[in-house]
This record gives sequence, C-alpha cells and structure tokens, in this order.
Amino acid sequence: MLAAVLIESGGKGERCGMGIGAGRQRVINGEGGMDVRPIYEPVTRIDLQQKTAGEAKYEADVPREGVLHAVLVRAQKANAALCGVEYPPLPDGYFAADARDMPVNRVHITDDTMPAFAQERVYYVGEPVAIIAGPDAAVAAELARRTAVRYGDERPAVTDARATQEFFHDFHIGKGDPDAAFAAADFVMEEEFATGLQEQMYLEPQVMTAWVEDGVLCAAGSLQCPYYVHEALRKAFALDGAHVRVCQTMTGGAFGGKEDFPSILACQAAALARKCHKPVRLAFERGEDIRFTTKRHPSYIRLRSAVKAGRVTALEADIILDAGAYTSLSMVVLQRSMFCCTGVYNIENLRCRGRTARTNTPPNGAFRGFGGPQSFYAIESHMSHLAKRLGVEEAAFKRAHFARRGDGTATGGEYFEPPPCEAMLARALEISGYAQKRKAFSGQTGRMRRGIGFSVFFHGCGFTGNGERDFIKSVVRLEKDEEDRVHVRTANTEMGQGVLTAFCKIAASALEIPLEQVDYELPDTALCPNSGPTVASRSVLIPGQLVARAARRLKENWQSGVYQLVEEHYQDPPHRKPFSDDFVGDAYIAYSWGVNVVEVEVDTLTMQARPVAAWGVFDCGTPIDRTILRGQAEGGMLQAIAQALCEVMDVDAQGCVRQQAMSDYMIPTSADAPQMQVEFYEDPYYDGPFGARGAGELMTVGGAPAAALAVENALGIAVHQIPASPEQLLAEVKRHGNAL
Amino acid sequence: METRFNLNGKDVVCHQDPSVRLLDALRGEFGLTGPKCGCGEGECGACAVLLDGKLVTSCLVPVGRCRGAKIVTIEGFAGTPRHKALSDAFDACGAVQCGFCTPGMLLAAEALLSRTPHPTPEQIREGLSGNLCRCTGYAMIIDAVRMAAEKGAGLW
Amino acid sequence: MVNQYPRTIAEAIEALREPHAVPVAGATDWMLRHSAQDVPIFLYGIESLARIQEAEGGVRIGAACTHAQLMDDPRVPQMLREACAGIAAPAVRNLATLGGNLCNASPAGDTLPVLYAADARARLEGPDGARELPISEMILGPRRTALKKGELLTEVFLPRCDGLWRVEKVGGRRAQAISKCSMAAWIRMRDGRVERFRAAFGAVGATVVECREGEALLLGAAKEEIPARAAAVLEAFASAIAPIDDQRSTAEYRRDVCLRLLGDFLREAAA
Repeated sequence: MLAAVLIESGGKGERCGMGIGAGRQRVINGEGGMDVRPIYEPVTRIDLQQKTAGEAKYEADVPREGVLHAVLVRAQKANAALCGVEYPPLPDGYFAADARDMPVNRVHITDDTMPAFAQERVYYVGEPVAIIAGPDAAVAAELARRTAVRYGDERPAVTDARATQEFFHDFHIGKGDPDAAFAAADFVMEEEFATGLQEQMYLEPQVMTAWVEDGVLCAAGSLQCPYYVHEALRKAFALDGAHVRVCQTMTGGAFGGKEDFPSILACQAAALARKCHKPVRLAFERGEDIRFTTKRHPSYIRLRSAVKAGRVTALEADIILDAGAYTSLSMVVLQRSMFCCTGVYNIENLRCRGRTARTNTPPNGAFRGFGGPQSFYAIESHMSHLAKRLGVEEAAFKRAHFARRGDGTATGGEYFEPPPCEAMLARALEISGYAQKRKAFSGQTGRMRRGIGFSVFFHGCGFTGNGERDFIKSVVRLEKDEEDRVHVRTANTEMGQGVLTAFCKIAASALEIPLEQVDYELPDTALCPNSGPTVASRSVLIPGQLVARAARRLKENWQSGVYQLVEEHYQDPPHRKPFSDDFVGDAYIAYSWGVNVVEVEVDTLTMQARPVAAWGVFDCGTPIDRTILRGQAEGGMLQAIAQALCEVMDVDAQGCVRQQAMSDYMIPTSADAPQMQVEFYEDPYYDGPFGARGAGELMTVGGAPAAALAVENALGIAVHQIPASPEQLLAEVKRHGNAL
Repeated sequence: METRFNLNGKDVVCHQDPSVRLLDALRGEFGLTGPKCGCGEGECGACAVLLDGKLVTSCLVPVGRCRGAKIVTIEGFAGTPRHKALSDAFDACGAVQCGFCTPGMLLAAEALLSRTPHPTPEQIREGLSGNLCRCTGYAMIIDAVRMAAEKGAGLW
Repeated sequence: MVNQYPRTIAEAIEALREPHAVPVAGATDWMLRHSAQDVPIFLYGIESLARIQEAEGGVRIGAACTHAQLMDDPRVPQMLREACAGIAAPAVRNLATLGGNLCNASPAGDTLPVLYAADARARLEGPDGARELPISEMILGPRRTALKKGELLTEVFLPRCDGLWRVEKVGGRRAQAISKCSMAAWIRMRDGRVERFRAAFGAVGATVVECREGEALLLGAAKEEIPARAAAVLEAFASAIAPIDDQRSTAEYRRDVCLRLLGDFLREAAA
C-alpha cells in the first residue's frame, strides 16, 4: 500500500506564511454548494455520532477471540527484598508470568529503571510481582490472592518526601546575581507551599490487551502514546520495530494518566500473552486504578524573595517533588516545575534548586500541566502575599512585574512574542467584576462568605528543551487515495480533547476541501508514522503544523484519481535558541497564556469552599475550533479548581493511598461545578497551523492559585497548602483564634 | 435461573444468576456495550440505564430485580426523536469529549426531561449530579440539556 | 423452592424462612457486599411496602419507599425529604429505600439522624407477629440491628415534627458524597419555652449520637435564655460525640463541625 513518497518533503524557509493568515474551512451548505468560513467556527466532532449512540468501542467493549482476563499479583510490603513467588496450582487454561518471563525486565519510560515485575526488592505496596490470567477474571483474582510472595530484609517505608535524603534528580538553574540582590533588599520574604496528590480520574479505567499475531507482538488499549508503548515493548522483549504493533482503542479520558502507564501494562500483558499464546487483557477496576496508577506529584516549594523599592529583585526557589518509588516521568515534570518558578514575571536574579524525592509510594507521573500547576500555585500565591505585605493592590503589583517581549525566561531564553498578560488580565478582571466584588466582599458577616482571586500563567508548548528536534523528530503523513479521499496518518490519539476533528479540519482547510473528504483513524503503528506522543500540549502545534504543511504540499501537487503520499518532518522554528545541557536557552518552543478569576463561597461553619463562578481568558493563538477549545478550557479549569478545593488524596504509614474509591476521592459533580465564562485572545502564532498554539494543559495551570486566593479573600487567612480542605481551613481558623 | 424482562423494546430471557449485576448481563449476555463500568459502586453513572423509565446505575441492580421490568439502554434510546434532539444539542454545545460518560449522561438527561420538561439550570445540575464527567467541566452539558429542552419542545 | 418474588408481606415472611434468605429492596448496598450463598428475596413487588399514609400524629412510610419517592411526596415531613435529597444522586435514590438505609445501619446513613431526632418507630414483622421499636433500639451498631432472623422491617412511623428544625449534611461535595458528619436538630416551643429539643448526629459514632442530658439542659428555657445555656449544651454534646479519623475526614474536624452546627442552630433558636 505504501508507495514511494511521491512528493518531496518541504525544506526550511517555506514554513513561514503557513501559520499566519486566516484559516478558512469549506462547509457543504444546504444547496449542495460550499460556504467558506473561518476555521475556528465549530463543526460536528467526527466522533460525535458514535459516542452519543453508545457505539464507540473502548477496549473493554472490543471482543477479542479467546481473550484471557488478567489480574496482577501485588506486593504487600512497602520496602522489602523479594524472596520468592509461589503460585497455587493453576487450573487448565490459567497462566502466570513474572520477572523470569521478561527478556529485559525494564519498562522504558524516560529511562530504563522501572521493572515490569518486581525482581529483587519491592519498593511500594502494590508493586506488581506477577500476572495471572484465564477465562474467568474472578478465578484469576482468586489465584492471585492465593499466590504466596515471600519477603525478607524489610525496611521502614519512606512516605514523606521532605524526610528523605534519597533523590532521583537534583538540578540547579539560575541567572543574574541573587546574592547581591538579597544583600541589597529592603526586606526578604520566605514562604513554603505544598500541594497534594491529584488523581486524573479519567472515566475509563486503564485497560490493555496484548497478543502475538503472525510473529508480531501486538498491543491495543486505552493510551495516549502508541510509540511509547511500541518502544517499551520493543526494548523489553528485545524485538525489532517491525515485530511490534500498537493500536490505540477509543480512549475514555487520559489527562496524562495514560502517557507512561500503558507502557507498563503492555509489558505485563505481553509477557503472559507470549507465554500462553493467547490474547491477554489487563483491565483495572476503579479501586485498583486509583490506588496504583500514576498521579500528580505532591510538591513542597519554598520561595524566598528579595524586595527593593516595591519590586521583587531576586527569587530563590527550592522545589521538591515526591516521585514515588520509581523515576517514571519525574525528571521532566521537575524540569517544567523549575522552568515555571518565576511565573509570568520578569525576575532578573534567580536561584532555583529542584529535586525529586524517592518515597515508597506508587510512582507519580504525568497529569495535565506536568509540574506547572505546582509552581504557578506557589508563585501566584507568593506574589499576592508580597503585594499584601507591601500594602499595594495585587493586580497592580503583578502587572508591574509582567515579563515583556525580549525579557528573559527562567532559563535565560527569550519571550519571542509579546506576552499578552496585561490586556488579558484587564479583560478578565472586567468580565468577572473583580474590583467591585473585592469591595463587596470586605466586611462580610453571616455563615456564607464569598471571595475572589485571580492568577496569571503560561504553559510552554511542546517537549522541553531540544526534545522536539533531537528526541521526538515528528513525522506525519497524508495519503490521498484514488477516490481523492485524504487520510491523515499520525500517531496522535483522540482521548476526548478533539485531536481527530482538529487534524481533519487543519488538513481540509489547507487542502480547501470539505471536512467530509478527510479521514483519520485512531493510530496503529503499522500504518502511521511516529509523529510523537499526545502530550505536552504539542499535538496542534507540532504534528498539527506538519499536517498543515503536508496538506498544502499535497494541494500544490494534487492529481485527481491518483494515489499520492506526502510526508513532513519536524524542524525547529527559526526563532528558537537551542537549549544547553545545563538548562540555558529556550526551554519551550512557544508559550500559551492564561488568566483565571475564581469566585468561591465558603461555609464558615463547615469551612467547605465551593466554586461559584470562574472566568478564563486564554491565548492559544487562533483556535482550530472554538467549541473544542472552550471544552478544553472549562474542563481544565474545573480540574484545577478542584485540585485546590476538594480533591484530597494522601497516603498512610505504609505509603498506601487512603482514598481508594470514587466515593472517597471527590471530583466535582455537576452540582459542584461553577458557572464559567471563557474568552480567547486570538493572536495568531506565526509557526502554528493557521496561527494555533498548544492548549490542552494551559487550562489546568491557573485554576488552583486563583481558587486558593479566593479562599484567602473570603476568610482573611493565608493558604499555604492545597487542597485547602475544610479540615485544614478549620485548623487554620482555630489557630487564628476562631475569629470568624 | 431465568429472568424475563423487556430490553430495548424486546422481551428477553436472561440466564444469569439473579445476583449478577445488570451491567454485566447487558454487556456480556446481550452484547450491549453502551453502558460502561466506570466505578462499579454507583458513583460515576457511566452504566446508567432506564428501569421502568427511571434512571438507575446498572452496576447496583441485580438481574433478579429486573423481572417484569422495562430496561432501556443507550442502544435502545438511540434513534428516537428525543435522542436526536439531545445528540444534536450535545453536538452544538460541545458536550461530548471522551465519550465514556456520554451514554449515561444522555439517559440522565432523558430521565430529567421526562419528569421536568423545562428544567432550570439548577434542576439540570441536580438531575445530572450522579453522572461524573472529567472532561467538560459540565457547563457545556448543562447548556446542551437546556438547548434540547428548548429546541425539542413537545418531545418531552 | 423458595419464592423470591413475594407479592405480600406474609409471602415475604414465609420466604425468609429459607436459611440463606436475604430481603433485598433497593439492592444498592447488597450488591456491593453480598455473599455467594445469599438467596435474595426481592421486595419490589410488594405494594404495601411502598406506600405512604398519613396517620394520627404523623406519617406511616413503607420500608421499601425509595428516597426519590420520599423526596417528592408532600405528606412526608420536610425534614426527612431534605435528608433524602442529600443522599447520593438521582439514579441511586431511584433504587435505594428508607428501609435499606435503616437495616444497613451504617453510622453515616443519611436518614438516620432525622429518624432519631423525630423519635421515629420501626415496625418489624416476623413469623411470631409484629412489634414496634424506637429507631434507636432497632439499630444496635454498625451494620447491626435488632431484627431477628426471619423478621422484616415493614414500616416506619414518623411523628410530625413542627417547630424549628434543621438538617445538615457535611460531605466532600454537593452530590454523591458519603457524610463526614451530619446533624438533625429540632426545637419546639410551647408558651414561649422550649418544650422539646432534639439533636442527633451521624457519622460521629458507632451509631447515631444523641445526648439526652444535653437536650434536657435546654428544656423550659425562654428564647432569651437559650444563649446562656448553649455552652453547657454544647459541652454535654462534645463528650457524647466520638468520631474517628478516616480517609474522608478527621475526628477533630467532625467533632468541631458538629458543635459549630449545633451552636449555630441554637443561635437561630434564640433569635
């Protein structure tokens, strides 16, 4: 099927001009003619019908012939030597596998340190030790329960990241001369902030099926990154790329939770599938998913700033992230936390240290925002507290520190485009009625008290540093068949965020053909090139731009009735300063910006804070689809607000998550969600498809600080820890003499 | 053990033990995978179906409880004018993202509108409060239900 | 062969003679914790168990009435309707029943504080006839009741509760929340003095927590005397409330909040 590349890939210098200029889509009208409309006007999602009709097939809905249902045997100890595994007699049709069945017992994530199955030691309660599968999941579960795991050399569990000296990573960044600035300061203010575990709580639990077909190791499941799974399987089973195939099945939400984790599941299921020559499905129940999958890293951030003549002249930041028992993605999450530590502000002198602490808890990983929300919570709160201490108005204080075009980033890179913070903040404060509300909320009595807070933030789009250029090297392909239908081939996955529709829209608009003429199937590594993972707010910006370029090239060379294929490869945008190994340069290719305002109501008897309303003004360049973008914005904002107010998760002395069910871990219901109003600041980005930039994660970065500051406003106390649970707030209020 | 009930308009016989979850019988014996298992404890609403016109979480309904009942799943609801009105409104308002909550959400909307054809936003929030959605932040779903109620006037 | 689908209470009682028979109404709790040997006796076909009737001094509620049904019925006292509205979400309220809430005897059962505060009575029917018990005597501990093997809870009598009352549910969110703690409180004045005062707290002890001594401290008080007596009342309740730390909240928070809610209710009563 794949003929030679008919159309040569584009070279440098032809990129500019593609991004700028108004995108137009062709829409078939009622009379059978075509209307031309701006690209951002909403279309019907391509997956709408199948989803509303209940016909969309998620992995657990797909019948796979002879599939065996698998259950993991998990460690009962948090930190002990693994001395042996003894299985009960396995009935006919039941099979088990463990570390001994792995050619290379490592799951490749950012490094190769996590085993698929524990081998010499176990490092957290629940660590997978073995897998058992058979026709009946309940029988498999019973066999798993009866499997005896022997331990030795038990050591105490480390569950507090602040109480350990074992760090996976210890990085430093800095610029200017912070010591001089601190020495010359009028005053120095130091604060510590803490954020808790946050669970992605995608509605569809983790599920993966693996099997061997014609000598090819196959895996299909709910996942974000087919080529991550592909590489993990290739390495763990010492196969060449052609002997591994990974397919995404319709994915019921991910939010980062299906970035790295599916690689682990695939290795475990594949180990058994290879052994028993049957498809093996590993599907987590909700409780198992909550307890043992990756979550947002708890953070402990100490900020110390030097203030001179009402300005912050230097910042010192010390960031500790709780990595859990293995590295997983912690290195990159930490880097993002560090690179965000100055927020949207121009602070010329900086010293930042970041560490990932090893604890005997399940490994933490990716969650939308990826280290950014922790740092922005800290810096936004800290800047507000500084304004309060100086007795100046928060918005004015923050505004005076906004980074401007040409200012340096935390890593000595440059804000290449003018940061739009000032205009966006003004707009957000206006539509929320911020000033009037601040006034109205002072001197409240009564049981229910309102408060309002705001945050200003960015999210760097795409892989950190030189990752896109040196590590991912995206490739996308367009194929046009003899019927002139165009097939978009990328590895980017639909998990609800709308990439399927967005890529088709980009291709159709660039080709100037109706959307109906473009197809996109969920990625299958046998058919799609590696356009990189669906993470890091990169899909529209990087592979999306390649789709646009490929489509334009196809249009230029269009021959009706002929099969044509176009491939495009990633190139750095011309403005980007390469990133050095010691973290100097442009940490991200481009930045998207946001301002959030959140209004809360606090019940002063129970100290339960509830979001009443939330406003968001976002700059993600030109939206590819305003409705899809609004969905990203509102959903992301609620996740972030809930992180600050209600999503409490902690671990016990053995490092086990205490909230083990959806009834214990509180994500908001429709009755808890605030009214929301979202606007887009649509400034086209020169190197994005039709002017678009990344959007997915930006939306979860600012909700938490805005909500926490709103709680402070309502109660007149400082919040240094989120979630600001009622338990914590009540303790704080009591500490202040209960003066409410 | 046999349990007879009406499923999506057809009389059926279910051969599961009466204590088996209706959800498992629907997905297994009847091949209806529209209802999803998101939690298994009645918290998420992804498995919601209508039992004699009332919204229920099928993970908490034993098959035995269905004797003589009328069960409607998303597959049975799809294709009706009410489903079309809701589906169109969910489209227009951007109320569908990952889709895992969507079947249950549509049935919750149907149950709500059947009782309250012109709900206030507060009534919509209350009516959907057992159907968790992690993608949208709910506002677009609430808009969609309101739009369906307006545009589909007379259907409920 | 046991009849798993009785049409009358008598048939149900007959069916419950089967050694492993378990009466099943809404099934929402049973589905999460049944054992393999359980023989469910489905009660949904018994019309009289789903009936609500006005009676002398109150209302008689069939044990298999669902929470959704109670919420919507104007004959049911508002206090109970409000408690029902705080339970889970519509899909669960369409299944779960008042009788189920009682027989599960969870310390966090959301209708229980109201039933305690209102001095509701449970009617139990069995092979040896019928008996009535105050709710507080029917519930013995977490998941333990006074029901004898073969006995069925058929009805709850809820006295009218006129006067000032308040129902509070403290949960992590506005729907689908298991209570961290809950309160039902009720004051009736007669000739300008407190004639009756009841307060009951959920999820802060093995069963619903009441405190007769604390309640007695308020009896006979005129409105303006309530503030002076409030501290002693709260102190009495403070020693009765015995919450625990768990994954949903802390003992300290639960105790504090119960007392804050009660204190606020007493302020309202004094106003």
